[in-house]
Amino acid sequence: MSMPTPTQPVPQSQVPPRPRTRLGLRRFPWVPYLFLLPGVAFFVIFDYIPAFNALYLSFTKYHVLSPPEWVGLENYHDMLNDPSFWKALKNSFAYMVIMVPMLVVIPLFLAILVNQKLKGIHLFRVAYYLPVVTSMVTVSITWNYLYHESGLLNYLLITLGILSKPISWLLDVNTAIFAVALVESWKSMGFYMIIYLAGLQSVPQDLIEAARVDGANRLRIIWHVIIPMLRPFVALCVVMAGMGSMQVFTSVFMLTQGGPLDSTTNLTYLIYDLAFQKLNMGYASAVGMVLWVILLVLSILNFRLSHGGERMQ
Amino acid sequence: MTHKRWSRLKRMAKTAGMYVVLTAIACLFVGPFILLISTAFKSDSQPVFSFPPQWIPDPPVWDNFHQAWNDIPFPRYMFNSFFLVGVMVPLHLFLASITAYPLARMRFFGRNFIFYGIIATMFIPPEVMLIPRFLLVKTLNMTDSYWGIIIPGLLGGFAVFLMRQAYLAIPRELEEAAIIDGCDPFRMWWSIMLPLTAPTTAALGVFSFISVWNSFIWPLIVLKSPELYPLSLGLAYLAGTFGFDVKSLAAGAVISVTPIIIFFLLMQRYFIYGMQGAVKK
Repeated sequence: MSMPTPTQPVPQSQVPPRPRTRLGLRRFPWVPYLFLLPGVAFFVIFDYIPAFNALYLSFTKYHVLSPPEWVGLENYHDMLNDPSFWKALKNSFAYMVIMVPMLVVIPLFLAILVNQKLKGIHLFRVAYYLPVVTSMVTVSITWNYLYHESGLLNYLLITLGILSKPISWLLDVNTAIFAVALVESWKSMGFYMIIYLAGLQSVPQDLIEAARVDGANRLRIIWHVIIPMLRPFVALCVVMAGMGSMQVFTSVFMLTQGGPLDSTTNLTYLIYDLAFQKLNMGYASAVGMVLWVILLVLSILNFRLSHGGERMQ
Repeated sequence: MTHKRWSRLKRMAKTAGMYVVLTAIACLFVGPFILLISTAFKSDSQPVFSFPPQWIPDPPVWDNFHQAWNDIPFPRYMFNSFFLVGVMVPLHLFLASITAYPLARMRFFGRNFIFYGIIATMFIPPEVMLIPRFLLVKTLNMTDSYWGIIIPGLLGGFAVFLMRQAYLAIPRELEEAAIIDGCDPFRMWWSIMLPLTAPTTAALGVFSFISVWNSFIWPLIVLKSPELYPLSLGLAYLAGTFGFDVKSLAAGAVISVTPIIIFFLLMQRYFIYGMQGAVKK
């Protein structure tokens, strides 16, 4: 066989110059570490150490005034027999069940609607996105007026004949969680709309043209061409909306304080209440671990769906 | 009537219909804010709630704004919010940039380990971090101070991820040319790479601005003194103050939301850019 032997030395002059792409790091081997030092120190001090501390605290009784006392699994055991924990867990999933469909379906249609070539379409995008940038505090104050017994919502529903008498949306055990979930969803629909808009703009235009030439009408194009192409974006929105619905807090704090009768308290609010109102930090940390596990499952899904594997290298 | 003219009429009707639908939906998103503004301008004699609702205050008055501005430390809240944004956003961008740069453009021992270590922090939910971070800030004696808010919020995994994507997209030839010209690593970053990532940096800055301006739960936990409250917290405090006039509360809400809406309208193309960048990359 006449394969060239790789051991044969190549004359020095013919060696192509080593690609000097790495900043001539041989002269400055310490440079990357110098750049990284502040950031890495930050992540260690403010993320890693607290994360392990949270895990540790979940195995302790800790009421701030005296040092944490190791109790093993007692907090987790207490949790199993704590109706307010179960109630909060149930409500967390209730938020998810209410909010995910709203945040996945409605924004998709908003995105299709604002993806047309019309004069001033830009203004509509801005209008739909407006609630996303305003603070939840302002949004909650505004919706408090809408939900008032003599507020706009009751007025509209009575005028349209849907209701016969006004409802105190936020004070009624049956409606409060829906009222809070609606505010949360309303505020973030624009965010999901933009994700879909990014998706829509990546749908190849000739595919739509081809369908049109074949005689498909607008609805059929949406249903059979656009939505299948958007599948990864739908999946991404499902998971992000799932995570977002688990983390509802400010609206609960502002609108209902978890009430009436804990009907709007979710795990996030329970953690806040236990840790910073009742100063029961050990138990609150254990509840935090449960929330962490739930969110971990969702965020692993999210990571796979959005900037997964191939982008990591 | 020619066929051509007929189809043109049909198209115009369709377009008009589209605008009607778009406007109706816009009312659902903007309407609540208009109600808020309307409430803020109503005088004492006008009811906040009435059947049918009164959309246009008659006559509109400024009294509620005066009251919200003067009766509680509103200017102070405003200053606090601007101060936090002014300190946190630039530091956030700086730290995210210098951390992401070597992870994208240099080869060194432990690079992947550090990168995955940073990405992993994105899997720790903020709610879980509330307690241990609060205890840490307490240990560092920074509760009830600006520092307790500023320092723990300076960097996040997502920011590093986003900036690294921007650095990865820069063509290698630029770097090579600079090295041949004898550029050292710091000048390379500052004069060449940093300007090239400007669009992403701007988008990140916009997100950072919004999130600092609207931050709520962390200041709520860290701060005790009302004079240190940022606007969002000051407004919540107002809303919780028993007996505070609802019209002044509406005026306060309008004051607090105005700067962020102006900022948004000025920078909106970066919102769209940043969001799409985050999704597509």
